[in-house]
Amino acid sequence: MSPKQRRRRAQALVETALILPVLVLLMLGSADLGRAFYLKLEMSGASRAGMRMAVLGGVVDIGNAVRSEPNSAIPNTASAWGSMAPGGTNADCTSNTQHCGDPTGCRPGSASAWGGVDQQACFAVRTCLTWANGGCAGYSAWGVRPNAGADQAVEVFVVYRFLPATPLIANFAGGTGTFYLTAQTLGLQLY
Amino acid sequence: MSWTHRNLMDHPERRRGQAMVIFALIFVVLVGFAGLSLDATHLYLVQHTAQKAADAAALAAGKRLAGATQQSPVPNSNDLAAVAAHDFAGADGFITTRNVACDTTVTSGSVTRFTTWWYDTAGVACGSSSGFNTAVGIAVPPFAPLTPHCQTSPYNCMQVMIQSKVQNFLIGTLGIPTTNVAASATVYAQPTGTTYDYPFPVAIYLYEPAVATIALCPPGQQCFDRTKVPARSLLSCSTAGSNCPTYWARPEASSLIVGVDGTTLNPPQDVVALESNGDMVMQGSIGDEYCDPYGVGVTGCTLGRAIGKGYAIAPGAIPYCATSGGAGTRLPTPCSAAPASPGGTATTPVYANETTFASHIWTPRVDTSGLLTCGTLLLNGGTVASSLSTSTCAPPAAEPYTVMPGKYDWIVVNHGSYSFEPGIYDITGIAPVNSNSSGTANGIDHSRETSADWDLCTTATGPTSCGGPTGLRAGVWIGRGSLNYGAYVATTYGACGGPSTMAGGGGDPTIINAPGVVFRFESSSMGFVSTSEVQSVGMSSPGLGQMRQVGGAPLLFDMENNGFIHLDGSTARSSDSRGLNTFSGIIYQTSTATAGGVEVNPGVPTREDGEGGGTYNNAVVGQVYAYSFTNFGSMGAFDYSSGAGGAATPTVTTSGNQENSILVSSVLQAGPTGTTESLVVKYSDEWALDAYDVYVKINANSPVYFSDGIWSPRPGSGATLPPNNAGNIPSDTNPRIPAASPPSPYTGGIDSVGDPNWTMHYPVAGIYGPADGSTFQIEGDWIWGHERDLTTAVRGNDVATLTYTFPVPAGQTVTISMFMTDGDRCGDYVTSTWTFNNIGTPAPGVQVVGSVRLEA
Repeated sequence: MSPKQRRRRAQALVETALILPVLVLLMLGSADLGRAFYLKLEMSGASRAGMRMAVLGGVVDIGNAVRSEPNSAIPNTASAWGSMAPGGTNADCTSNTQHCGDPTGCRPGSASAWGGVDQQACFAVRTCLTWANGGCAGYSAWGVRPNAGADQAVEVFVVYRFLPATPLIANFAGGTGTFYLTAQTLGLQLY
Repeated sequence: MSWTHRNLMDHPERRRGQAMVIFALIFVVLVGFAGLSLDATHLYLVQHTAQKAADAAALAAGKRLAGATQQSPVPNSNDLAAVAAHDFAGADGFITTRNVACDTTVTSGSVTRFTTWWYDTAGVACGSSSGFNTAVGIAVPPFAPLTPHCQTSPYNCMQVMIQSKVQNFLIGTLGIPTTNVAASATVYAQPTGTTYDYPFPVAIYLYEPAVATIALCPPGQQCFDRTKVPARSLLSCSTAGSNCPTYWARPEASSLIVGVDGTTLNPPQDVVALESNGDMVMQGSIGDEYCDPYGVGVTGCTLGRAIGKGYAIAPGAIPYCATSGGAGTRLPTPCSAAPASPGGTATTPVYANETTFASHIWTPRVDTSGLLTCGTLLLNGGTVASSLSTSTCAPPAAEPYTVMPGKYDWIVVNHGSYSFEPGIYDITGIAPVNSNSSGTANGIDHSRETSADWDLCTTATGPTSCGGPTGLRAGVWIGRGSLNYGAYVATTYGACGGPSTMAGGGGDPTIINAPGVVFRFESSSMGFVSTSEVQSVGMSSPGLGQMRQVGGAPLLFDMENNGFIHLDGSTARSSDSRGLNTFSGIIYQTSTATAGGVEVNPGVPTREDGEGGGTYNNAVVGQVYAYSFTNFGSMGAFDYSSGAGGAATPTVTTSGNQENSILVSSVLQAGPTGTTESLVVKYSDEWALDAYDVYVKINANSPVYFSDGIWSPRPGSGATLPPNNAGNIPSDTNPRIPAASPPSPYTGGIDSVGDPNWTMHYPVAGIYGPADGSTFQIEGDWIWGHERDLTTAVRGNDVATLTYTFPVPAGQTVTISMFMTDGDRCGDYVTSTWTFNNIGTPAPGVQVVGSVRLEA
């Protein structure tokens, strides 16, 4: 092998070494982004299902509607939903005396919202006292549903804790390396 | 060696930077593909968000439309419903400026439609597809195709449409900067207080006149020969040798015909249960009962007793009585103790003619225009598509065992489990009899019919004189033959609502589930037969006011010829037959008929041994207007006590996969005591009922849960619900079959076919429920939690009966809501609402409530 040839080979190696991280990053990044879109879509579907249930009555089981909707993405298990899992403290809203969803509104870092290490998702419900085109103009506290006949709106808020596989993207998310994918739907109470 | 390589070898220096060049080329392709997938996913997400917003906006608008019948579309964009649609579309992410600039009202034919569009950008031309980022529009009534509700009440429906221009990420660089996405949702707001077209409230009304002798019988008309002992072989319904009483209760029949309490009429009055224009032969072994529940409630109507006004017959007609055993062999004699004139009293089992016979003529309006022409349908356990003579009426791919409405020559079911979609089935021809001796049948397969079918009368010449069972024909025949059949196909389950979800069916036993259907038999056709070989058949008419094509009437059969409607079902008490053999709705034969009529075998086991809260079976829940009526079989059950409103499938709201068919029928009946009434609801699905979630609500009171009373003390705020710490405790995560020995306060256990039959009692205030003595019973295929989570579960044709018994509430009306879910864990539920007039006992209910549902 002539020195010239050796130089060429070394050069190709350097080029590849330069390009490979970019390629890998691109592939991982697009996979992550696609996954994020998909989960965001599932959250949107879950909040829609929750809203459609929530507008029907003051004691209907919003939790079951929310958790049952993203069937393929999030299992309806205790580890996936934490205190919002079936049987959990904030799971079901079938009476006025129970918490309906997380009382902190799924705040990042909240112990009630994100108790378990493996917990993937969280939902919360609140009443919109007045609304306008463009969103709600005044909310109740989290966990409160409209009283019967109040003609108020109800918001179902669903969050997915997203852990990107790509290191660089995870770094953008701050210390925890976590993004929170949210979806909310506002509906007018029908009861 | 290729040209390129040689070239490069000749000039090695050209290879310098080669990887960079190749990478640059690949990079463009990579970015393109990555962009395509990302943009596609993003578009999908935006589309989904738009759909979500459209749903929310439509539901909100529906609430503003509900409460009254809308006689015209909303006038402009300032209408409250329009405002609600606009605001909720905006609140869910699609913000526009509401103004009246694009309001348009166009009248075409009998329909006036209001449409408008609102944009986020000023100055957009109305209807333009560009120049804006977001557009929200409404249409009242919605654009075609209209759902049945929206056809009935077009101005109580609104369509909300959303269009959004989405900025593309990466394919934008390829020259496609934006893509339009669209979503649409339609809402139906059921109006209150609407009145509908249904007949005078007499349970059974019969046209056949009385003649003194057969010689006076008009040509071509069936008559009763008073000189002969009534026998099935003579009940041939032709002129020659015919012997057809206008009303005949066989010795085994022990008919219980419950009429309707007329106190809701204005002024309040008594209504007779049965009116007959001709002779009646009553041979019930323990006494026939024709009971008008006036003043005593339906519980006063029990076999062998006479309560209220029973029946009325026309002058010249004779009621014959023979109530001792074995009466079928002797000539009945006129009921000597029956009052000869109105107003008299009687002491015998027959208590009648308290009032004069009155003529009632009612003609249903059935609009069959627009129905698809479907040819013939012969079902031998295969898919519906493979059994149709044309492909026009093939069901959706995910529902291969569902029959679609349309205009059929005839329909024959020899084998298989099938559902009928709600709608009109217009039958124009007569089904042929099978002529194959092997393979599959090519027509009605009579081969399995036995002596249990001796009562079939479905030709103009009757069963004996027409050569026995091989001559029996009809427009729609539902039986069970012995020739080949398609295999039963189990339901397959993919992701909930996903493409791999497929409803099962077919197989050997005949199981029919038909909610919300209307069968019309044209003059060129004959009638309807369901034989005793059928394992299970449940049919109900559309709810009051739900189908414009029938004038909002709860019409089940409209027979425009001299045929017979023969209602029977399996008497074998197999677990799958329980609970479903019910025919609900108005059964009508044209008032110009000269032969034929309705035959009922009330032995069809609609409830096992009276279990389910009642004391009798409800083979028919509804009304009969026909030429003649024959009551076969043991025990009797004809219940019109809930009136027209109680005989129909009510308004339902569903979620997840469309599951309104899990609610088969419902009836509000009085009793079992004088101060209570009961709502009886029947459930059917490929999954068992999830009893954990079931609740019922009376008026605006708190919901009463079937499972709510199990905890003592009741869990406090934030407590785990349901607890998972003991057997038999309801749970979503701990699904289980209910035990044979229920814990207090439940009673019951396992019924005679091995299914759970539990009754919840609500005896203690504040802990268990209403503390008013009400009870909630569920019998049949139900479990705690989702059956899909139960590895040992056998899925199939699951049926259950839910009975809620409660004290008659105060007020002019009673509104009942029930919520139930199936066991497939797809979030499927049904919320159904009924409103009945409330007079202490059930009555002809104007069954409406201002409810709102998404239609499409």
